[in-house]
Amino acid sequence: MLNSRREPLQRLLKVAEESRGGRTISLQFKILSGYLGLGCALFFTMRLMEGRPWWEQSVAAGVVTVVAALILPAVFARVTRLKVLSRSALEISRGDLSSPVANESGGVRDEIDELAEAISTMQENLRELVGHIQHTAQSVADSANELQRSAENVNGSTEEVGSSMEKIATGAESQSTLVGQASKVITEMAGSIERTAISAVDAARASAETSGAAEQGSRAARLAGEKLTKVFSRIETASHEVFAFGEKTLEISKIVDVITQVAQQTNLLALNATIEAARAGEYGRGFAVVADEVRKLAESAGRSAEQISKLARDISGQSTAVVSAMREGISELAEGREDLTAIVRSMGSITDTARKGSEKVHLISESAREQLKGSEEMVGAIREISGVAKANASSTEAIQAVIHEQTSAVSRMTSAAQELNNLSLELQSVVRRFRLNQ
Amino acid sequence: MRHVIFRVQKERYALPLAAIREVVVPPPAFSRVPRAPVAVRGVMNLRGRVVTVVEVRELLGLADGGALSGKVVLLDRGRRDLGLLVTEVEGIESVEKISNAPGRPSPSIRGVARLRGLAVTVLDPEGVDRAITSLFEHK
Repeated sequence: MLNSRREPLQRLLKVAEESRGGRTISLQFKILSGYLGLGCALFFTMRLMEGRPWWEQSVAAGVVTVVAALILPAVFARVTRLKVLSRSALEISRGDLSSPVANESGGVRDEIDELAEAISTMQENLRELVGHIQHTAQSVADSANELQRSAENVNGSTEEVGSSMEKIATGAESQSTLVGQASKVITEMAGSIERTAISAVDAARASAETSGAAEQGSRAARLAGEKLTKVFSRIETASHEVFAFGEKTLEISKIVDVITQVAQQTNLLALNATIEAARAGEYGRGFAVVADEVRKLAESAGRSAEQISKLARDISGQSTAVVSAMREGISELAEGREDLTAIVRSMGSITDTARKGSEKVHLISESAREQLKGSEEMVGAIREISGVAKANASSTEAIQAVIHEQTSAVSRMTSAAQELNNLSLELQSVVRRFRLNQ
Repeated sequence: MRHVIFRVQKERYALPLAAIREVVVPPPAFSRVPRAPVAVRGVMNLRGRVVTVVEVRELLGLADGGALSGKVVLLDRGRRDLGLLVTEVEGIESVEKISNAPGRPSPSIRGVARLRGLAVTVLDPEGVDRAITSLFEHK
């Protein structure tokens, strides 16, 4: 169909053949030969009618001429064909292409035959052309209809697309605002995460300081414990020395006891000497004085010994008190040492705990840093999403503009299709004037 | 007149210096005399001589006042050696004014004197000797 449409018109037209074979005698010749035959017939009639009255001769000539004039064009030139031809041409001019052009070709052809043939070819060509035009007009009308429908469909689809695009645009707008909110929230979150990270770093430093302080405290407590141990041993040594001192004091006391005993015995001896002197009467008077002096000396020695003994007893008691105080001190020191050991242990556990806390805080700090990084990436991603949403919005606007253009183009196309349809209808009505078939 | 002052527990007594031979420290333990009176504490060896030791507390009929292991005062009574067990000998003092002891008179006690503000019972050597002898005779 497309090919046939594209066929050039020339190829559809059949060219009237110049000669169709057979004998061709020109009409002029025929007329000439008719005139010649008429002349001959008139001559022969005159010859036959010689001697007859002139009026007879005139009637005969008239009869011959009329007969020849009647017969010769009909038989010889067949001029009736012209009428047929003119009728056919008239029909064609009226648009009736259905009746074929009469073309009884005899043995001898002339210009009328050629004319009839040409008219017949013309009619045929016209028929084919009109048929083609009709067909094409129909096709065009169908296509225009189809196009109109399609355009209407496209218009409807475009309208749907437009509303969808509008929805997409509103969606993109709300997406953009939501993305903005999300960005804000994530930025705030990033800020709080940053603060958390800073706090975690502070906490890590503080716990590290605590750990260090606890370690220093532990060291100091250990040193104190060592010093306490030294003090302990020194006090023990001192205690032993005080013990020995006390024992020596007791020895002094023993010696003083001996002295006291000696003094008492001396005293007794002095007493007995006094008694002896008294028994000696006058002779013993001087001896009695000496004995009294000895007694006084012994008493003095006894008193001194008593004082020494008292002092020694005091010293002994004091050294005992000192020793017991030292024992108490030693036991208190032992308790203190145990306390110190406990302190060292708890300092160690504080150090451990602080170290663990520091490690945990370090972990928190690291994860906060990672979170910060992640949130920054998230902010970047959100920004990209925001950009994409903005691009979406602008693309949607562009698409909407394009859709507007398309809508107007489609409406233009619809009107053009309408016009085309009208044109094709007009063409069809024009072409319909040609009758192709009987 | 000069006296030897001694204590029996808290009480102070005095004997004339002439009646006393000497004062000695008693041995750790006396040799007990069988069937001897309660007042006789036992005998002791003094430089080869046997001395009978009498407790003044029992002799004077004083209350029991704990152990006393002080000195032994030897009386000068010829061949018989008698020792009085006293708490402590205080010394030799001069006792002048002797007044009569209050209450029922005892042959052993001569009287009471004041010595530096304190009362001293002055014993009679003869009376004491007799009392000791009568202890044995009575037995």
